[in-house]
Amino acid sequence: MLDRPPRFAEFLLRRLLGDGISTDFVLGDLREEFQEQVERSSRGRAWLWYWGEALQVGARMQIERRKYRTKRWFRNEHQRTSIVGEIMQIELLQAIRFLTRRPAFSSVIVLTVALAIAATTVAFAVVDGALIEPLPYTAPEQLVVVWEHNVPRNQERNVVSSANYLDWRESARSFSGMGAILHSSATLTGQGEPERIGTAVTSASLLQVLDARALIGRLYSEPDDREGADGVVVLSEGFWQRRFGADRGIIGRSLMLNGTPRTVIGVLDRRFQFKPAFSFGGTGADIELWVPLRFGESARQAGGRYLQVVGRLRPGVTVPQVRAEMSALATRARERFPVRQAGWDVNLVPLRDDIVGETRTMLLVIFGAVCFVLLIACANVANLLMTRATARQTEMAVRSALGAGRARLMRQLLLESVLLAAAGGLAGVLLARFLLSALIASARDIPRVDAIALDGSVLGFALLASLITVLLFGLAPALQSTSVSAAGWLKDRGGAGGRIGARRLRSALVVVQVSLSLVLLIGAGLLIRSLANRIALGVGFDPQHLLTATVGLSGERYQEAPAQSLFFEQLVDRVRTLPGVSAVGAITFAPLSGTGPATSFWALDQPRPTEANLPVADIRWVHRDYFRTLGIPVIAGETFTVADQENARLRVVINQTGATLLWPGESAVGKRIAMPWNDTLVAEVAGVVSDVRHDGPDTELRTMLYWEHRQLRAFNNMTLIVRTDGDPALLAPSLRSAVSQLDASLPLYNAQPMTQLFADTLARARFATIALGLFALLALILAAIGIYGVIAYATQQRFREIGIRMALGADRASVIGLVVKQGVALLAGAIVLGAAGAAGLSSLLEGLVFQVSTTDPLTFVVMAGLLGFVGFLASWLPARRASRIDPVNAIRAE
Amino acid sequence: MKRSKNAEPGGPLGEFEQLVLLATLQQRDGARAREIRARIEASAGRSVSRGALYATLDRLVEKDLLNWELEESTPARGGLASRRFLVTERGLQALRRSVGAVMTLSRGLERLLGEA
Repeated sequence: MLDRPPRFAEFLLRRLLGDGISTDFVLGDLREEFQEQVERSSRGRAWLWYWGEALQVGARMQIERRKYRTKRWFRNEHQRTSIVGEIMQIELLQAIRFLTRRPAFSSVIVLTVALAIAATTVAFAVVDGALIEPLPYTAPEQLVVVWEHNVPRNQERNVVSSANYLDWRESARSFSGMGAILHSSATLTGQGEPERIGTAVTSASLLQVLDARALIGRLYSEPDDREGADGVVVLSEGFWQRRFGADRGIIGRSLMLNGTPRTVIGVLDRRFQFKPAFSFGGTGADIELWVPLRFGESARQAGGRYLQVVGRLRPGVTVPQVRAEMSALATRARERFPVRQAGWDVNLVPLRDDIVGETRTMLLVIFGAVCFVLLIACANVANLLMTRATARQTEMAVRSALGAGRARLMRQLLLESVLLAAAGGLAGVLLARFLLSALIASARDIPRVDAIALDGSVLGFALLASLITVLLFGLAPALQSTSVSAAGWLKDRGGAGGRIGARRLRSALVVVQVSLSLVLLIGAGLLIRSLANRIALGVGFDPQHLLTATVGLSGERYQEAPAQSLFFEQLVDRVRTLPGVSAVGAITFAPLSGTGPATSFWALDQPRPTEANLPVADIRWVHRDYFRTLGIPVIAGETFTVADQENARLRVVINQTGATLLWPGESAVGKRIAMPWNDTLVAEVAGVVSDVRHDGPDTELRTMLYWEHRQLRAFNNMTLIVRTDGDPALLAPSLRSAVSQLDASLPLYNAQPMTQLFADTLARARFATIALGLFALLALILAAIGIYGVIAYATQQRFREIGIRMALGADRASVIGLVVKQGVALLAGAIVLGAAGAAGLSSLLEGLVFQVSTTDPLTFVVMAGLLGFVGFLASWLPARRASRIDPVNAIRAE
Repeated sequence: MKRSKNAEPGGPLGEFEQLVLLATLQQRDGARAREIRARIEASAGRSVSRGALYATLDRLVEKDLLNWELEESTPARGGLASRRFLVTERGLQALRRSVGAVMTLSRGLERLLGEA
């Protein structure tokens, strides 16, 4: 199989040479030699060789042809108008030639620019998708999410009760529409394997507010919302294609959902996307089914909070206006329902802010870091070009002496910079495309990931960034090297080390670079420490060797609570006997898998607080072996036993935080609590267990009440937690068959190792840490190159002086000291500046750090030390070289 | 400046043009571009950029000092044609003139110029 040369290089060459028979000959010759290069070295080298040759041949032949044409023009004196263009093109081609002749120099610059542009472009694409691109709804700025705000608990985004939602819908004048959604899941049967499917239960008004459109059929409307209406369901386009092969005949057919038939009335257009912030028992996957939300009469009184509400403001209504109105409604509700509404207010959040939430800080920090890297890269390239420019002063002086004006010379140098930036920018965009697709595939935790793309605005940004890069790195060297006159250059030549102005500028650039990279290093250090703190803190149990998988009960068989309990008892017994299983328990709303229910409660041995001040506890229902399976230590008393049956005395297990909060300095065991769950339930504390951080290490610890599932049942699903001897993921199939042996109509879903869930909760922190860490590393490398470049160059300029010093008796150590001193002076200044900058900017990291101060002295010192060490190495290398020069040669060299 | 004067049809040959024509003649049945390049590099001891060579070949063809004929393509060329250059009668004359002038001028300087 013959290798083909890089197609784009061939394409470019063909464009440069034009279509013609001689172009074919040239391309043919190059192909032939490319094959030989492949055989002689490697494909990669042959590839580089081809690019170099293609550009060189193309440029050279263009120059020759144009010179020839220009000459003919002078002879024939026609086509005068095009001469300026011709000369510009010759200059362009000369610049290409100049750069391709110095492949090492050019490729270092192109690579630096490409890396910086790629990083900046990717970061901008993410920021653009998440924070700038309009949401895919009509007039998205009118959309707000309405939350209940629990003031005493400082819970600003709490789900809403049906009573309040209905009240707002009828009374609030500021909205043109308001809808509610509950994200959950449902079991689909009768279509092959039973499957648990992410389901949204929504009011018809939600679909209207968000402008949802049906691809085929219709969406549900107000009449479908009424109690007693026929059961209907709308499919997502993805589900329709996946399960029904996009069959248009699906409309009117019936699906069995949770054991109840529902008629398919339509398919939702793929362009409609909405993912609520919270999910109660969702599958973790996308929403694939949409069913109407129906309220019975009791809904107007019900205090349970489970809805997420989205409203569309009337045109012209401002957020302060609607806040005032909603706050008045909240006050009225508190007056009307002092028990249910005590301590509750309303909170409005624009939809975009609600979606992006806490990631905004992270995205902006990363974007800022990337911009720093771009600046550092620009400084580096500018430094390289200035070194180059100093070396080219002879050329410039001669050309200036021959009559080339300063503008002409500057044009030439800027043209070279533009070409470098263009090549770097192009390579950067290609690299960005690659990086972006990798990022989108891996970063599930970035909001609006589907809106992230290399679209027009992102490409525009890349272009702008490249242009700014040219101005930043190209202008200074161009000004510097063209400001010298022929006479000035001759006068300067004998001097010891370049012109003072240029040297100062280069030193200043390095100081800026180094201090910027210290800012990044400190930021990265803080995030690394935070991630380490999170991992060290853990979640209260060891996630290794645990498999979690959920079973949801549906259908006639499980209408009654005892039937549900019986099923899970049997399932746990069965799973316990599976080979490889060492322990098994079960819980509704497993740790690390999302939101769960909470309720207020009080201790019976203490005076009952007012409604607004009732303590709040998260509640979970467990199988008695749960604590043993997870290895959660029992601190006092005991956990549930077989004796805690349906009709036995009610007992609860409380976590340590709750026990300390309610009974500080006392034993909680034997104390009694009351919980207004439907009726008031009274239970005795059986034991205290150590805390579990249900939402990951960042969780603020709250009271947790565990109930034995046979005694109290509120949800029809439970998550099995299985401790295994080996790889937990391998156990999923036998778990699945254990379920189907008990009831073949029940699906097992969300089967995943606990370690995966743990990793998911750290995903955002890890993403920020890795991103900032990589950028800081890149910055460190660039800064080291910068220091090395400046010191090496300055040292080279001083070879003669060093030679004289050595001839006069200076030893190697003092020469090294002399050179390193320069580096250390630069470093010291930069470290002071960088540390000050980091201290100033550190408050930006406030939302991202964990159990570490943003001005943590240790991180500052370690990172400054690291930078100092790398910087010292970078200046020691040229120093060592200087100490090895032969004084005689060095003095003679001038 | 120098080369552009030489590039005028009928004008004296440039040094590189001379080398290209001589190298082409060395190959009896005409030479391919890469053979010309290899021969110049070997005998003149300098590297020849492909761009310069192709540009010169084109110019010499345009001035009717070189001619070329098609050759069959090989698999390594991916179907792209190859050509073999031949020196034309005019090319031969131009070469005679310029080499003649060099030889006339170098007469008597053999000891100074050596064998090269």
